[in-house]
Amino acid sequence: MSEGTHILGAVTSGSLTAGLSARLAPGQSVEDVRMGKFVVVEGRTHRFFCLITDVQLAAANPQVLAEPPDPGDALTAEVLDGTATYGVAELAPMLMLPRAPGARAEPVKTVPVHFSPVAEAEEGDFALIFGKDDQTHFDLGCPVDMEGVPVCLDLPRLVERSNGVFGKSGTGKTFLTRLLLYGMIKKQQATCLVFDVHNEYGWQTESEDRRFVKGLKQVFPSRVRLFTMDEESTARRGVQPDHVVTIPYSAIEVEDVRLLADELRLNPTFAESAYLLVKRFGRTDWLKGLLATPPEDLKELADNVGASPESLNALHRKMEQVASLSFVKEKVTEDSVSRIMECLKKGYHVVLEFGRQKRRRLSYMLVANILTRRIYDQWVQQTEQFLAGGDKGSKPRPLVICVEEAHNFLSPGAARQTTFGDIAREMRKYSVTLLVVDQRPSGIDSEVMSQLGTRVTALLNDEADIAAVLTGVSGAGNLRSVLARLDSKQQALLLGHAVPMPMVIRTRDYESVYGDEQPTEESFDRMVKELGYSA
Amino acid sequence: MGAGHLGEVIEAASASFVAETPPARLHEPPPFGSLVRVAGASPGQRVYGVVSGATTGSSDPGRRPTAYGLEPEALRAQQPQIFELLRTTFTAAVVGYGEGADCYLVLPPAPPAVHAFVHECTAEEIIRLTDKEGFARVLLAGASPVADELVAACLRLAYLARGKDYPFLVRGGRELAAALSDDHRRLAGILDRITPYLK
Repeated sequence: MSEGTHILGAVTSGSLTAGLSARLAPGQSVEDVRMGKFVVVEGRTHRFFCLITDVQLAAANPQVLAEPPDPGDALTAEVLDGTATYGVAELAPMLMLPRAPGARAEPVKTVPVHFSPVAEAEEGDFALIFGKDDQTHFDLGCPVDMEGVPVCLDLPRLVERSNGVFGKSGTGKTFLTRLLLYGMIKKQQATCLVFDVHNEYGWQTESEDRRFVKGLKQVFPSRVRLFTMDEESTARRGVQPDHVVTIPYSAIEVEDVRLLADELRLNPTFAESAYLLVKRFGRTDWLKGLLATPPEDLKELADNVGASPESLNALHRKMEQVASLSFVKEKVTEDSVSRIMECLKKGYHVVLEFGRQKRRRLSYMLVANILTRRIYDQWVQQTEQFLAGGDKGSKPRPLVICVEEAHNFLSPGAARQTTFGDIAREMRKYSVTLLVVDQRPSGIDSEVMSQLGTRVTALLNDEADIAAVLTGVSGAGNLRSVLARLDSKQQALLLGHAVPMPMVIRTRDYESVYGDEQPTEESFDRMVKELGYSA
Repeated sequence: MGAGHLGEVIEAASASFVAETPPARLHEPPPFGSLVRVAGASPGQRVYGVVSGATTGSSDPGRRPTAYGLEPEALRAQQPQIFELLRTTFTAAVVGYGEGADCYLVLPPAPPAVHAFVHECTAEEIIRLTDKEGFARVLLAGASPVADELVAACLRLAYLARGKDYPFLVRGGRELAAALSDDHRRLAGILDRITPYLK
C-alpha cells in the first residue's frame, strides 16, 4: 500500500463463500462507493483483489434511525456519519497475491484478517492483474471510475477457447465485437472469419450515436479480405469487395441442409431421401441431380432410388428455395468456399458480408455451415498431421469464427447437429474457436455456454439470460447484481479465461484505436513464419 | 507571581479541584467550560482542568447573606463592607496534565497543591489539548451532574478559541457519538447545545 492510497474502510466480517463485509471509514461517502468497483484488501500476508457487489446503509443503534436529525442540522448529520450511521460494502474476493517479491496472484482460498484496510485499487494494481497493452494483451477499456487505466485481455488465452459477447439489443455488442476483432487482428494472435450478417464489420457503418466508424477492411486493408454475397448492396454502399461469393450446387452437402431443416420446414426424414440421392448421383452431384429432374419425373426418380415420392417431392420443392438464393449457382467459375479457405490458411482475415439477402437467415445458415464444416475438416486434418509428424511448422494457426445471432446455430436443438456445436465443444484442441455474439444467451445450449472461456457482457435484464451468462462461473451470485446494473452504453463486464478476475469496464472508444500503430508487412511475414503458416 | 491569576486552589483531589477567585474578581469566575491550568504537585508539572461550576456565597459558612432591596450601585455605596464577606469559588474537573512540552489526557500522578494559582490556558495550550484524540470523550467521563452541559460548553469555547474550527467540532462530536452509541438522545442533546452557536 503506497502513501497516497485512498482507504475506503476496514473488513469487519465475511466468509470465503459469502464474501466480505467492510465498514466504510468515517467521512467516506457511500455514494462514492459503487458496485463493480475494483478494490484491494490489504491483509496481513496477502493482498486480496475484490469487486464491490453491494453497498448498504447501517446504524449502530436503531434509535438513531427512529429519530433522524433535522435536515438543517449539518453538524449532527456529520457527527453521525461514520459513527452511529455508516456504510457497509460487500466485497467478493477474486484473487489473492502473497506479499512476496515475484509472487503471482492465485484464486482466493482464504479471507483477510479482521479490520484489514480496504483501499481503492491503483493503476499499478490494474497493471499487476491485467497486464499492460503489449503484443499479447489488448486494452479493451478502463475501469468505470478510473479514466486512462487500461484493463487488458490476455489474447493468447482468449483465442484458446470459444468466447461470447452478450448484451441486450442496443447495448453495444457489435461495438465490443469489432473492438475484440480489432485487437486480435492488430496483435496478430489469430485469424478471424467474420460472418457479417448486418454488414457492420467490413466497411464503415453508422454507429448508434450517428457517427461513422471504420470497418476492419479500412483499418487493415492488406490483412482483411472482404467477401460479399450481395454485390449490388455492397456496391450501393460504395464498397469494393475483394470477392463476390458464389456457391455451386456441388458445395452443398446433405449435412448442410440438415441444419436448415427448421428454416425450410423440412420433415426430419428428408435426410433419408437425400442420402439415397447421394448414393445415386454422388456426394457432390446429388443436388444437381435432384434439381435437374423436372417435377413430373420425380416419381420415377423416387422409384429408381427407392425413396418415398412424397418425401422426394418435398425435398425438391425446398431445395428449389435454396437454389433460388442469388449466390447459389449450378456452376461457378471460381469456388468461393475454396477461395475463403485459401485466404484463411494464408493468414488473411475474412469478413463475409451478407448484403441485402432476401432470405438472410437461410443464406446465413447455409453459408456458415458449409464454411465451418470445411474449416473443421481442414483444421482437424492439419492438427493430426502436426501431431503425427511432431513438426512445429504445420500446426494450424488459431482461427476465430465470429458468429452473430448465434442462437441460430447453437440453440439446444441445433448445437448437437451443427458443426458450430462441435467447434464450441471440442475444437479448442484443433485451434478453432468461436466468438459467439448474441442478445439472448439463454437461447444457447447450456453445454456450449459452459464451454465459453471468456464472456464480455453488456447490460442484460432478463433473469434467464443473466443466469445463462453466469453458467459455470464460481461466485456467480455476486456478479448477478453487477450485471443487471451496468449502464446501457459502453459498459461491459469481462469475466473468464482471458482476465484473471471479473471486471466492469467502460469500453474503449473504437475510433480512438485507429491511430494506433498498424502492423507492418515485415512483422506480418515474421508472424506467419513463426506460426508455421503455409504461405 | 499571582498577578492576573483566576483563582487560588483551596481544595484539591485527583479528579477535580476547587479554587477561590481573588477579591478583585468577585462574581467573575472563569467561564463555565473554559480550560484552566494550575501547577502540579511536582516541579514542572501542569494540571489542566475544565471549569465545571462556580458558586458565590458567604465566606463564613455560619452566616448567610441578607437581601437589602437596593440596586447594586446603591448597595455598594451604602454597605461596602458586606462585599468583604463574600467570595466566589469555582470547581474544575481535571482533564489531563502536562510535563515539559508534552501533555496527556489522563489524570495527573498527584493533585495540584492547595494555594497554587489557577491560570487561563493559552491559545497554544488549548490547541494542543483539544488536538488530542479522545478530548471530547474525557469530558464525558466525569460523573458531573451537568456533564452534558459541560461537554457542550467546553467544545463550544474550544471551537471559538481555535478560530471557529468546524472540523474540530465534527471530530469531537464523532468521539461522543462513539462513546454514546447506546444513548442517541443524550448525544443529540449535547449537539443541540452547540448548534445554535454556529450561526
